[in-house]
Amino acid sequence: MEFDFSPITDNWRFLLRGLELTVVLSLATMALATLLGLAVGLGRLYGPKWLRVVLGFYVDSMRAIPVLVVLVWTFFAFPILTGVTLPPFWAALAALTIHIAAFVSEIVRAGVTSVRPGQTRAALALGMSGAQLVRKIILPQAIVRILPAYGSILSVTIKDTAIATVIAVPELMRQTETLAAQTFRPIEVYTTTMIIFFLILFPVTRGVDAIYRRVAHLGQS
Amino acid sequence: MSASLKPTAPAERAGQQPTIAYDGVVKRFGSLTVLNGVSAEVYKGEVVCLIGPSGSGKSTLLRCTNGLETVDGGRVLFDGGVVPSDQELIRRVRQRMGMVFQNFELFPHMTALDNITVGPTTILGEKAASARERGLALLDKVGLRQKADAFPSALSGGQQQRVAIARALAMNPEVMLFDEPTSALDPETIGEVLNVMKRLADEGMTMLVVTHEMTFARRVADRVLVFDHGRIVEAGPPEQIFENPQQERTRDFLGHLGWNG
Ligand SMILES: Nc1ncnc2c1ncn2[C@@H]1O[C@H](COP(=O)(O)OP(=O)(O)OP(=O)(O)O)[C@@H](O)[C@H]1O
Ligand SMILES: [Mg+2]
Repeated sequence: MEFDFSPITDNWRFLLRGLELTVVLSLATMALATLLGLAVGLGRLYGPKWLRVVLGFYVDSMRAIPVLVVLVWTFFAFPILTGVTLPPFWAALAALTIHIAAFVSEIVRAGVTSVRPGQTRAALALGMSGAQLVRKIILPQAIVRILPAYGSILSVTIKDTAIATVIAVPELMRQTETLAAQTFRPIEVYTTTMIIFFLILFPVTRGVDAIYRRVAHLGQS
Repeated sequence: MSASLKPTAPAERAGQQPTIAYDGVVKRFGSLTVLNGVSAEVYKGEVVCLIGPSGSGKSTLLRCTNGLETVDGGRVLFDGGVVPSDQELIRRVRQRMGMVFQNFELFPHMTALDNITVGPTTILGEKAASARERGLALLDKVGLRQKADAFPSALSGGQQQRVAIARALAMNPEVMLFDEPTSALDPETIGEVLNVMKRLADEGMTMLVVTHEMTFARRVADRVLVFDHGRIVEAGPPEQIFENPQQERTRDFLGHLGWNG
């Protein structure tokens, strides 16, 4: 069997554009999902009963529905229902954010509840308000504690962006498919993309672990 | 004699308002009655030690004092007023009481100095520079000035507990509540914490101390309350409690600890 990597060396800019969009989509998704997940997690912990019920239903739904289904629904069904059509990139960003935020909210909740009750007593005994307690004492420790899990969600997010290909977002996976089809070199092209994903994700997971090792003591009460 | 220098016993303080008063306090967790009608007073400048077997409700009584637990019956009074259950009002009471915990409960994400200044700056709105200055002075007072920038994970248990005492003092409390402050410490470091507490007592701080350190109670307390099954079974000056206990339960408890006068 003969390998020919010239389709890649000739078209690396084409793949790079895809990679850039993958990175942008990943970072934007992660940023928005972090904010939304934080709000949902705190809402489920401290919000009024009705809000907890609503948010609990949202989180359970996202855990039960494949992200691909959420994406396809957002792009194809949502516009028909509402008359609002989202361009592919924005549909992908919305769907991924809504899906990932549910998982972020779960680790936020786990992180907050893992801070031992003595910390709450110490803060309240000083005279802190509930808001001061959460902001100054609980959340900083919870954030440190959930770093490893957050790193896992980050890598899942980067991987999940590849499904945006089904709604023709020109990210790395879409560009890869296009290139493979045009050059009739699927083995070389897909292998290259596999390696690119690995080269991005491997340092990400290792990096988060390394950061966690350095700051772990800040979350140990 | 040092005994004659000690503040007077409650009977001789008639007319003076207690700093803390428990009036028939009842506390239940489900069907378990943890405090079963506790009545006692702590007067200004007094050191009152609370001793008694594990599970008898000592921690619960301290938590009812600053509203970390609500009472199911009776009243807790601070400075003549009922300790409120309203979340906003209780904060003002808590700001006037310091609390020290068995497990220190320093905030692990803050340096020793930040642990001390976080209360004054966030709760009292004190300026950072002035809080810092007072914080360093408090660290000096507990002998840990050189540890100002250390995180709790880098401090020994005894050092952490001394920082925790400084943290409570930073709010300028009128009374200090200690819940077994030395129970989680290695024997070598118990002394350094007890010394800090002894000095506080000598300065006239009003203190309510749950402790298993009978030597400390014997030497520092003005009065000792013996707790059992959610009641005070005996109260009196340490000489009485340790040398001439009136109650069977007191003798049993001290006997268990191997205390022999
Ligand atoms: N939040 C709670 N819910 C249910 N039961 C509780 C709670 N807090 C304390 N208790 C129970 O109340 C009883 C008294 O507890 P408390 O901690 O006040 O005892 P203690 O005298 O401080 O004991 P120790 O010397 O072990 O600290 C115990 O039986 C304990 O299990
Ligand atoms: Mg206790």
